[in-house]
Amino acid sequence: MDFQIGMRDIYNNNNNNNKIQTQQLMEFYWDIILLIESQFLSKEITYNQFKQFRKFYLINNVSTKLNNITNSTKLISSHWRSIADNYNLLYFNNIHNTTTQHCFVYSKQINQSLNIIIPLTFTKQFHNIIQNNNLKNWLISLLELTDKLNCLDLKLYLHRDLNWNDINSVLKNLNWISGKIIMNDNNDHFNDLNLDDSLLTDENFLILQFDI
Amino acid sequence: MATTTTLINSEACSSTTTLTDLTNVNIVSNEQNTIDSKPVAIFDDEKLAILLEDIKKDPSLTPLPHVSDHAQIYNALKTRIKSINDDTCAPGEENSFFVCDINELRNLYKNWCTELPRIQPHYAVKCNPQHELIKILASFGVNFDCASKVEIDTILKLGISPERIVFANPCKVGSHIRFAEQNGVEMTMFDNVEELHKIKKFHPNAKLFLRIATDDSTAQCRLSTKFGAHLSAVPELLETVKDLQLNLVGVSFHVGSGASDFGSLYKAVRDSRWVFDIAVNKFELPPLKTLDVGGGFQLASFKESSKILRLSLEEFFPESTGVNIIAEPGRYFAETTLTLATHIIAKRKVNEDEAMIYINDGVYGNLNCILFDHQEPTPRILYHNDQFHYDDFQSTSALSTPNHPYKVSIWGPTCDGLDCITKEYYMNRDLVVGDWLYFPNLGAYTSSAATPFNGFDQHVDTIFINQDL
Repeated sequence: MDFQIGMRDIYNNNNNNNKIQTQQLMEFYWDIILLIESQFLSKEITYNQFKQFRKFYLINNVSTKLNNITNSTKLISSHWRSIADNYNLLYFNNIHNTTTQHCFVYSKQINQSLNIIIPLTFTKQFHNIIQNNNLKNWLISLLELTDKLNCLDLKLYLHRDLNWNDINSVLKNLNWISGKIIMNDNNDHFNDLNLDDSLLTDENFLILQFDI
Repeated sequence: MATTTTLINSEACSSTTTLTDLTNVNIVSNEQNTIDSKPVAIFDDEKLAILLEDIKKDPSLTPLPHVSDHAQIYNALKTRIKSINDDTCAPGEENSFFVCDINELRNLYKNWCTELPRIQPHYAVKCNPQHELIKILASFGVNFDCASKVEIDTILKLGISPERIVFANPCKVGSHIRFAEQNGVEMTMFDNVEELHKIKKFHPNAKLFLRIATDDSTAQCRLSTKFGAHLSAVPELLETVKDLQLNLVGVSFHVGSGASDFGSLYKAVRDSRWVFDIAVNKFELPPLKTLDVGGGFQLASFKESSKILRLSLEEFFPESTGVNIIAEPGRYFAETTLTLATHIIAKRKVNEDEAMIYINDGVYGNLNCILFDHQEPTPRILYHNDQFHYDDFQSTSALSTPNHPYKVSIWGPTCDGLDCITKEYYMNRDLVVGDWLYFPNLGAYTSSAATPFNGFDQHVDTIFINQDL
């Protein structure tokens, strides 16, 4: 990927075909997938359930996804539960330069929908964005990223335990940039969820959608 | 499938420079109107404050109490609710619904033409994009302000010419600019250098308005923290316009929605004059043709804000200058035109005189103005105990009174703690499941962002009244 509008893929600069590095990269990729998917874990799950999620749910579903890619089977779902086509850790250079703590925002691209997850670990940076009047620029940069990835919509998942005043700042006048609030998938509405699926929920987040 | 680490520099997308606010400097000066100085103004801050005070006291500008067409609204509400049989109604029949008074819209437009005859309104579609509302406004001769691709698409699909659209969002995604260009929408805004480069790339012939920041500290919804270039950034922007050979046609500003100090209007018009002047005198750009005075107009203060605006335009942009004046009203047209009726679907008693009431609409539906627009809608009892109470305008109170013994909190239909309409309100009747509430003057920033979800259709019916007067 080569972003011309203020974005670049830093992995490109470090790509090396060395076998050991490839193995490490594979582990790194698995960690990213686990990290991002586990954002949707229900708060109530036990450690054993987490292991179940990691060992069976995630590995099985990623395996199915890879088989589908190999067999050129096109899946049309862009639901947040789906294993993504791309997982990204997003690093905001200008924001991180002002803090000592480096935290990422996560994204999973499913078909033409980009889901960007603002985790609880981003609380301080999120607060800085709001306090420094950088919200507009930050949102526009996410929208431009969405456009550059040829996605048709951006869903922004704001962790509900982020500072409420900061969340409120985002909500106020959001319709100026075509943002709208989306209801959570209440798990109660899904009668056919299997046990593994019920480990995941989007109710940890307030979800905003922007059309590109 | 791939995993990557992506670095984003949001500064590269638009300007983040913090600049000195020049809007409060004393504008009376003995120096001549040189290219860098502000235009000589009749009112300095002190005189302006006196003028504003005088205007507030002017009895001819005291707003008359707004009187809705209660008879017709009540009739529409009653007819609809009486047609619903709780025992046999189909799913969705008991959904919340709007009543839209077309005659109110007509009167508002006439009032606009009386108070601001020089100003061509461009209705802010984001405020309420109901197609019928838009079609009627279009038939009056109102044009349109769109903030996004979706809104532009809405207007074009209604057969309205792209020449009547201003794409009034100063920070746009590249794909939206491309869409505007492909569909003949020429007028758009900018407030930063990066936006100009995007416009040069995707829409080089666009007719551009430079949006300047205003003092919106008294506004209910402040916009200058989001949009608008500070005056000290204007020279760089004009230089870039010149370098990129773009087509600058005007200046725009927005004093924020629900402003209470209309001195900001005067200052913004004065600052716009300054931009008009230096564009020609210092940067040798062609004379600008249009001033966009933005939105934020509210019916309750319309006479007062109109008077200030007329005075300001007369001083800085008299008709003899030939400058076109446009505006972006949204709330002014939509707010009092619509009434929302909602059904009580559940009740949980907290104690003998206190309950949690659940209605079939909320912040994820047509009451999202609570989250997005700082609104505090007023609930009133419409139907209780097999009787209609529309005319009882004292049926509820925000404060506890002896006449309102029943304390309630009102919640939307989802299980989400965010879906709260009001945490505390007081009723003169002990409401039960099956009763109806109505919310008057709830047309602004309500249905615009409502979204359907999982088969629960959040878009509700609208009953139009007084269409053929």
